[in-house]
Amino acid sequence: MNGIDVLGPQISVLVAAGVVLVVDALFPGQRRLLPFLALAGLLTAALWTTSWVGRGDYQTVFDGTIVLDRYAVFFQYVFAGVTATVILASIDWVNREGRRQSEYYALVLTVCAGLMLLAGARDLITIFIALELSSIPQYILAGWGKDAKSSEAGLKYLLLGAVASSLLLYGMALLYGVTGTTILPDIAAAIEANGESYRALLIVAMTLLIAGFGFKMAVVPFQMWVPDVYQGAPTPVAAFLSVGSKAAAFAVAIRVFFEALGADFLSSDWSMIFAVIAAVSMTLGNLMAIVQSDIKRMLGYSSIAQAGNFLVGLAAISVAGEEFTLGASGILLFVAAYAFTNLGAFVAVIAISQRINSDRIADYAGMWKTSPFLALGLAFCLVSLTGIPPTVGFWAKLYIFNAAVRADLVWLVIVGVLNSVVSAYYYLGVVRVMFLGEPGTEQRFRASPSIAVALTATAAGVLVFGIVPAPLMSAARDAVEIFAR
Amino acid sequence: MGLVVAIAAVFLAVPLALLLPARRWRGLLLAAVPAGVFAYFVSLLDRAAEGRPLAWSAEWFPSLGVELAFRADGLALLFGLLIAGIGAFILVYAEAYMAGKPGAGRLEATLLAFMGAMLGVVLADDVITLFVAWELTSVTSFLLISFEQEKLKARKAAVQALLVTGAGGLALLAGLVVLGQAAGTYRVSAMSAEAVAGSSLATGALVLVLLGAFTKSAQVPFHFWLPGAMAAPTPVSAYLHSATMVKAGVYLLARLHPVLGDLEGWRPAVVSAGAATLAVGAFVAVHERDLKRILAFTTVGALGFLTMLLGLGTELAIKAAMVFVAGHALYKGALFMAAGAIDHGTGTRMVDELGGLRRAMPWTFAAVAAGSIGLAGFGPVLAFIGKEAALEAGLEDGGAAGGWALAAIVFSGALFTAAAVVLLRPFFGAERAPGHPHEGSAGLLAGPLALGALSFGLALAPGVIEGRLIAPAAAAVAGEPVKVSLKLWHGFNTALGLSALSVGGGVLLGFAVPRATALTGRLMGARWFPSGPKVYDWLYYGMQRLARFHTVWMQRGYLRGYIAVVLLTFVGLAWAALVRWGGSIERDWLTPAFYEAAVAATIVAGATTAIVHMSRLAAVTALGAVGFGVAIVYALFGAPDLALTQIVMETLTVMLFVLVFYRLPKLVDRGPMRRRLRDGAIALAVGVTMTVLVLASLGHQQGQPISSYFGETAYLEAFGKNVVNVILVDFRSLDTLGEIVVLGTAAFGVFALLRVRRWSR
Repeated sequence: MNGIDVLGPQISVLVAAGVVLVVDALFPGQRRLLPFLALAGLLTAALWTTSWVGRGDYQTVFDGTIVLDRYAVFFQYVFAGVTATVILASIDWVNREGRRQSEYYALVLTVCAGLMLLAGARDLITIFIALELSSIPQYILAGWGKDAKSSEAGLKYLLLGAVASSLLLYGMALLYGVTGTTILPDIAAAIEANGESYRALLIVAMTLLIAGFGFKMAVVPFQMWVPDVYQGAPTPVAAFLSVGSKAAAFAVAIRVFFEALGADFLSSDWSMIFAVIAAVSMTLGNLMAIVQSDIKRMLGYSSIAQAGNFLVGLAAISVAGEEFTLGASGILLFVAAYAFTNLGAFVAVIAISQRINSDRIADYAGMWKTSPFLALGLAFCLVSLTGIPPTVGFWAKLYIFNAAVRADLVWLVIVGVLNSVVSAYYYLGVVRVMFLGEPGTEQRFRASPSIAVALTATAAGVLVFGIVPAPLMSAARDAVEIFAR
Repeated sequence: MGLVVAIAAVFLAVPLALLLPARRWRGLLLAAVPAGVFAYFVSLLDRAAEGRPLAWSAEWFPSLGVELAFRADGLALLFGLLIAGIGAFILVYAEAYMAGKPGAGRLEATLLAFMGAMLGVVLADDVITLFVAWELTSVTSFLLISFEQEKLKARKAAVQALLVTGAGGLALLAGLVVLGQAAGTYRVSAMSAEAVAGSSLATGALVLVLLGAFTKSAQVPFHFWLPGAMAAPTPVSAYLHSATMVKAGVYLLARLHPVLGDLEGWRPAVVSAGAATLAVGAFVAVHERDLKRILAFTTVGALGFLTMLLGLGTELAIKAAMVFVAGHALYKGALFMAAGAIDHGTGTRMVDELGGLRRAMPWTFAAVAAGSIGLAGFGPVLAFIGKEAALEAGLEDGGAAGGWALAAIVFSGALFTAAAVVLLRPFFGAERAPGHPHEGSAGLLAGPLALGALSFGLALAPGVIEGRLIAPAAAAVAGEPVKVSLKLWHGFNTALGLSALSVGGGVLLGFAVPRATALTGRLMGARWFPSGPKVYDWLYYGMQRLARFHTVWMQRGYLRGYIAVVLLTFVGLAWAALVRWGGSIERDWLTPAFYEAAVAATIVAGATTAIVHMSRLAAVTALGAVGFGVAIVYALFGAPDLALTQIVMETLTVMLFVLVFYRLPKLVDRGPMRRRLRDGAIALAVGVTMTVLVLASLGHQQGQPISSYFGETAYLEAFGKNVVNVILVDFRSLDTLGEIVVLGTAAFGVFALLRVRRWSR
């Protein structure tokens, strides 16, 4: 029963997916209930996760392929929260679309189950399956819209995703080939024993893994799908991709690289690769974001740059001992901060674009006058994305740059800071348009209740953790303790 | 705790400003808040002078050692008094300036928010606390500059100011983090110069911190945003761009002087930046015709002056800087507010359009006169004391830095005087103005007159501030106790001589300004002249162009291109690893039997056919042949079950392909040869890389193959005779479950697509 207990959250989410489908089939008149059934499933998962915090000891199940630790708990909360927000933000859109409602929620929940499984996966095969479990529904969701752009998005995402998956699979196979095991700690032990004799193969396996994870992280040069898919996919789905799947990629990358490939002679190499990717991602992502006139494309490019910021945490590990996991805890903090912030921004964009039927930044002019609540919420999230206090984004940036300074990566910090300046230009540019521009129409509009709840919750997270960051930080630190050496 | 309350009180007045009705008393009422804070700071002076300043701290971000910490030492109080004191006058002035126009409350609220942030900057004892407040000042000042949002100029200036100071702010953040790392603490009062000097990070910290301070305090070459920011309403200019925000950079230099002042780069970098700014600011000021822009450039010069003194860092220089901070804030505040009153009373700020105002606007004239004496720095004003001390500091120094400083002071002293003459000219001569000139209201005049009077009063009775305020402030900057005695009259000495010389020259120049500056003005207007705004525009539009070019180049939208980049990255990294770390390939290969060779030939032939054949069906069939070949390889090397699976899969795939391709149009064109060759090369590179990798990994088979374990335990533990089945449903049942869910989901997708087809009919 123990194994079932550990997989409780994932199972409850999948059950909720099934319930949503069945209820829709049996009582087609009760469609308004569907999102709440989905939310109930997520709540169950969150409560189940909470029940461990009391018991909270490290344990493995299913022959060591699944692990329950604080790290998994941290990410399960993140994924449950992200999915819940996405569902709240989807309600209006789904109602407007009218059909295929239950399928939509079921797919979103399936993605969530896959992401949650990733959080605790500690075996290469399990990781791959969890990744596919979360990816395939995303491919479908990206093409969920009715227009050709959405279909193009779905197809592009699927094809590029297949290439990335195959690279990942090659990497895993190579790793298994040279170490003889798929369980992460056993891989580490095998490498410890005589890994240096096949260093080249390990590095190649590593680069393949980086390519595979990099696709999901959306970092340069594996980022090409991002703008097309973000723009084409339905906005709630784009929000989900930008936060959920990115966070999951980092969750699993940290686990794989720290738990299996943490040996000194390897970590010095991968941290350098990550440092370079981080610098390039930040720079190119920001550079391309500044010329965008479509807010979804802009957020897409900026999410590439943000992923570069996350990667600073994976690069900043060269100090051994206590500091080994400093960068990793920074990523966790950043993931949480980014989840609040980017979701908040997307929620506001969803509400606004439904009302003005446009994603063009120029059409956001004067939003402050027509919808102060949405304008303020969006502005606040954009400020946080820039990394300006008093927002949670500031602390995340401060923390991760601090980790980089401690790891003697001052050059990377300088690149990051310069990029923050560039990002300020386009993030605050939107703020300027909203507050200083003249609205095309004087007609005021209100956000729907579900949007209001979602935006208030995320913005409150941004603000509260911006003023009192310590709890979030200690959670992130506790979570990565298992990787310390 | 009192310090927190003081800052909080200012912030709490923000909603008050928004809620109160637009009446004349609103400004007074709001001004009571900073006035109260002012009084509170005065009460703290003695503690600071005795060396036990009030301090308060609370944990904020424990894992980084970041605290919410405030400390009211002499330096903090000097700036705090200026911020609160001048702020009170500004609020009254703003109410009168806006004179019931809509948005007055919003302006006052933003001013208060800015004031609170500014108090946070100067009172902070923790560098991260300082930075948080610093960013708040940038954001609030952005709102203030763009207050008249319908003006394009205002918006552009606001963005410019935000980008320059925001960029500097981020450099500062990096610098402060590095500094904290070097010092081992974020507490300014706990940082030791030795620890920082001994760290390898010291130079990096210095450069980044200086960047932050220089951008905020408009030092050359970052000075151009400040005159641009004059697009703001006058109360904002008077407050932000004379007394407070721009001084934040100077404050930071002063604050960190005890920690960074002895580093090797400090003196040359800070002195040269300051001297250059002083000279440039003074030089450009005499070329301007707009009152506010003249004031803006003289402010740039004054900031350079202060920076230069802090760069010199001698006791005398520090004292001079502290006195001049106060002196400058008083006279420049008075001048800015008076300029607003002139604008109000006549409808223009252009000096050439004005004349003979002294009869119509006597009180404004008095304020401008008092301010101009301060600007010229000659007469019984506080700024004069500061300037004399600065000249003495330059003379005392004797080194190259002192010499340059001296030259800059004398040069700019003349130009400042000329600017002061220009400022006074609208009051003389025949009466001339676009509108009918009239005197400003009491609210408009109270501030400039009070500040102008203080500028004189404090100079005549310097004893009021020398021991209680200037000495503790200078001590905080020097990092050791400093004795201060201020005197207006030092007797006839070299400093006075230099001063008189430059002022005399300045007066002459002032009368000849339009003619004297004609040539240099034309030079500065030349297209090629790299003036600050132009360089900014080059950078700004250059970045946009680069971004556009890059985006077009990188994101073409072709899937083929995207995949090529991913694959080439992989190939590059893999070969880099192989070359760097070396891999060995086993040499003793088996000679293939003839049937093995035949299978291999089939696979190669199938693959080649699939590429070159123009018929889709033929290509798919050829691909099928490849699959069957692989199946035979499995069968030959002892994996019959795998071979069966492969055959089934292959058959199914070929059938699916055929079904789909049947509906597609005929393939007529494969694209240009060049592209095909390029794609072929990429494919070949990937294939070769994979082959090499497989061969290289063969030599590293570790331990027992896992199959023997499954073979042994399948029946004993799981009671199944078919090992593969046991693996699927038992040993790795969870993964199988996952796969089932994946497949189920994929089925959804297929179903959804089919439904789309039906709808689209």
